Amino acid sequence: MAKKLGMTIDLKRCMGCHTCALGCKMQNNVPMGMLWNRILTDGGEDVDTARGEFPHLHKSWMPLACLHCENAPCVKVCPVGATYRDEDGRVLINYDRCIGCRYCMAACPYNVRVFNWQNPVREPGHSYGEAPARPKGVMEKCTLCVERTSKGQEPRCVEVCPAKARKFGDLNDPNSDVSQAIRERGGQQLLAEKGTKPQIYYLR
Amino acid sequence: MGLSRRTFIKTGLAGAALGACGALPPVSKWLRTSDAADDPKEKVAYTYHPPNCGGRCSFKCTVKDGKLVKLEANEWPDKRHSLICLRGLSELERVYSPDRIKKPLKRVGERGEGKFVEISWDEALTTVANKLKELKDKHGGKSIYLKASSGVEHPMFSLATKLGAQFTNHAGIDIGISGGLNQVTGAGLFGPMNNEVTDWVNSKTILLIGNNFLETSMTDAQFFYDAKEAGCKIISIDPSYSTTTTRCDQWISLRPGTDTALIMALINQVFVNKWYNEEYLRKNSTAPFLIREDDKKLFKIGDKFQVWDKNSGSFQPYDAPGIQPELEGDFAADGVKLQTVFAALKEHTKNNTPAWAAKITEVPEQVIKDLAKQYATGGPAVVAWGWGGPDKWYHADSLGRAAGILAALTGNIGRIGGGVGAANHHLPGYFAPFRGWPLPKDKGFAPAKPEMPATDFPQKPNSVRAVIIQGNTLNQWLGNAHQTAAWLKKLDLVVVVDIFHNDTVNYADIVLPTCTNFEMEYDSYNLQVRRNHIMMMQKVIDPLFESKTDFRIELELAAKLGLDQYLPKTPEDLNRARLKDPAPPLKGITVETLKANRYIQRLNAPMEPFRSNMNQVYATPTKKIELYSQMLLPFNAGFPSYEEPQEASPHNPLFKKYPLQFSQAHTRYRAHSSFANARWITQIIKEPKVEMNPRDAKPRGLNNGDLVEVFNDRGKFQARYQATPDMRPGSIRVSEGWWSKYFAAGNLQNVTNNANNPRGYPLIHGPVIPFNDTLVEVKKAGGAK
Repeated sequence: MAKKLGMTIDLKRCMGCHTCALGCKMQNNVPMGMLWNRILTDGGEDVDTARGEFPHLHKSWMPLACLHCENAPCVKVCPVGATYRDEDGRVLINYDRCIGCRYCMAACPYNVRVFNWQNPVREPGHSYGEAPARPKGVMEKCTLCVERTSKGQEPRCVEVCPAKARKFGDLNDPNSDVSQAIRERGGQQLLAEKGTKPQIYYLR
Repeated sequence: MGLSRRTFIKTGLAGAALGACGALPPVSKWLRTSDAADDPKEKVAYTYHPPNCGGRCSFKCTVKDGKLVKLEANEWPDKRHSLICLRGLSELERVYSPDRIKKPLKRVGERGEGKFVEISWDEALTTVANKLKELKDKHGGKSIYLKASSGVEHPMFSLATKLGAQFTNHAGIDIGISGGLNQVTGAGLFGPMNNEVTDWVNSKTILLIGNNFLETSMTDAQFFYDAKEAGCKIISIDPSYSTTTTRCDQWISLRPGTDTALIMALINQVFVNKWYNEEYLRKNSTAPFLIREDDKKLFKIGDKFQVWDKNSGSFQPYDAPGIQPELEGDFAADGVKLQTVFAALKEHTKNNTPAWAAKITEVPEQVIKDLAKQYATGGPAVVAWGWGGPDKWYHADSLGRAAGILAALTGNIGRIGGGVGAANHHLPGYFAPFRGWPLPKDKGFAPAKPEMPATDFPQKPNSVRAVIIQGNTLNQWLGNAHQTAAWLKKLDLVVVVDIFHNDTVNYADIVLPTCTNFEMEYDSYNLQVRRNHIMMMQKVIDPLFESKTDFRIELELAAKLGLDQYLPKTPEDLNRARLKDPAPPLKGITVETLKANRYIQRLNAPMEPFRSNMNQVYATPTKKIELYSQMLLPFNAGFPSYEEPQEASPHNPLFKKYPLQFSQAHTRYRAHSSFANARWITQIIKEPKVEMNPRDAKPRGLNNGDLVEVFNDRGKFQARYQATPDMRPGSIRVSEGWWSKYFAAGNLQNVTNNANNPRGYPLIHGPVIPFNDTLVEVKKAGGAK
């Protein structure tokens, strides 16, 4: 059976440290002005916003990156086939084909795509990590660290998480860590009612 | 569908200035890096992170064409520690920061204006050396003061020794609570917990007092979660709802600065309910020692402290074999009444009831009672704190003493799953001391004895006429910035050695550019022990611009002074000397073995968590847990008591004018002021915010995002207000360490309290700066920005 790579993120463990965001940035050569992975709080848009009024407060962090949907709207709307689902279940972008029409950005209900409006600026002024640099006018997003995962390594965000909140593996393998975690904890898929079938599951 | 095949052509970046990026070349000429393992032209090197960054991570660094292109965690022998957090990751940019000082600088204009011209190293070092010679000849070595920030890998202690200069490296910050704890348990610098956090899995209760552990000790977060999963109840005692609070089982919010009152009430409840461990106290503490009614000192016969031995019905030396000391009873000697320390402590805390503490702390009485029971009867328990909150108060030492006493009464010191102390930076660990660099005996080299805590230099007359500062010390480590500036203007010479142009640099006469932990002229550099491992630094890249390592700067300055013959020539020479005749945990570890093992090795130490005092021997004068401090009798403080905050109290008349307590708490984004300029981090958290509860903002007419002014009689600063329901009403916060250039105006140290508690002077590391014991007011800033 073909692999279906996916991930679980334990929101009881996530402490909003943003290490996954910067680990991703480094590994994937993400330029300034964008992040492939952001950490949201349910209290509001500012970083680390709590919900409620003192002392009746609640705060929870949710890392958000491409959910690598099995039924991905971005794949469907791409007029040139630049966005595609690979044999292991990753949703990827062929940067050579991308014409920058941004239909995929509009189609994605999770708001996880970013666009190179200008020539990318990197600080420091050289490339880093393992992913090729993308030029002005193309879309970018999480690739499940394809340069790593295609060599059997974990995505960088999983490797660097100090709270060990993330697990990565094959959702089609019932014995994988991710499959076990979903059975035990009942993983939540974001906007499940939209039928996109995300392969990233949140454990609450 | 598959990816189309692409060819990548390397482009030269030689023409691109560092810190700026021109347009990328055409599509077909994209720059691509690749995994070093796949490309023999790439290089991998190992180093570790600076000392004050939360836990000493060891890094695997990938270099391509002489540039750092990837940072990963090194693999530790104990794999649990193979981690890198956002601060470590941000180094990839920070190393190349536009804030780098590229060349030595000489001041033009007024000191503090921050205007400089570039000069050569020879001119810079000669200028400094000539001035130091002159000062030493005229005024003696004590007129020169050297200070390194806690982020500095190689303090210039050797130079201070040979100049006979004053040198302190830990003064005023992170030492408040530990000064008190030292009186009880003999705890060392910063007051580390007795047990490693890896032992928390064996604890049943953990009290975290003002400890935002999950932000400040990210790489130890796993041990927090392991404890939770093992059934430990973790209780956050914090005025505000911190990140760590969100993950704890219980949150107890209290009025800022009143932690000691809460702990005193717990002690009261331990006595009232007889939850103390009698046998433990008899054997391991000064509880049976006797206090004289006349002078309150401990009763001695000859030079031996005495206890009443039940077996012989007589006074006996406290360490005599076979005795059964009494904890209570009526005793007298030579007509002087004697009371056991135990009975005296019980009497001392008699009025510290939960009802009493409830009024002070604003914690409900029943919550306090339940907390006492949970802590005292719930099994192995830990009291742990951080340094960004409760440590920065005038009376912080009382909290350390009270917490130490509470832990002692319940037998939680030298216990599996127990402990009391600071929880951060993974400080506890097996002891592995280094040897030093040998000094010629006939030269009489020694640093000058510090004439006062260095935090007094801006406040009192002193001998210092020149300062040599490594790091952002002057802004980070002194409160009341206006007073600091006034002092600096009177000095003959200010030398600042730093990587980046931060606040302290602006006060310098001469600025010397130094390296990050990734750059060195040498193949290898410093050694460090942490987490039961020893690490060495390998050269990752050449020094950028004209920077030099601190080691090299010290050596070259010593050469100008004719003293270089007494210093090691290379860091490796120093490391070999340090590892010579090694202590048992270091046996078999050499410079060569470290190089052969990716610059990291585990100490020869047991695989179980480190737990000090399991043998119930303490680094106190009596070798026991000392519940009573004779040294503090002149301050009427034989036992700790709750005292209102020196400034930040509603009982202070100043409260009417300045009703808000000001906090500079620690955050995940910085370590003190390091990383304030990390652009990868400021991408997430862009600028300092004045965090205030909307309940306090509303009557001041503030809306989220407004520019506000925070002010008191000492000064003011401006920044954006951020509506923060997490903040306890009555307190505001700006996280520690922001450089003043990130503020709309001013500097957060403009408002902070720098009063030194007289009781702090006899303590092991002197008085703490009460940064958080500060009252301010906030108003909308005039004019648009």
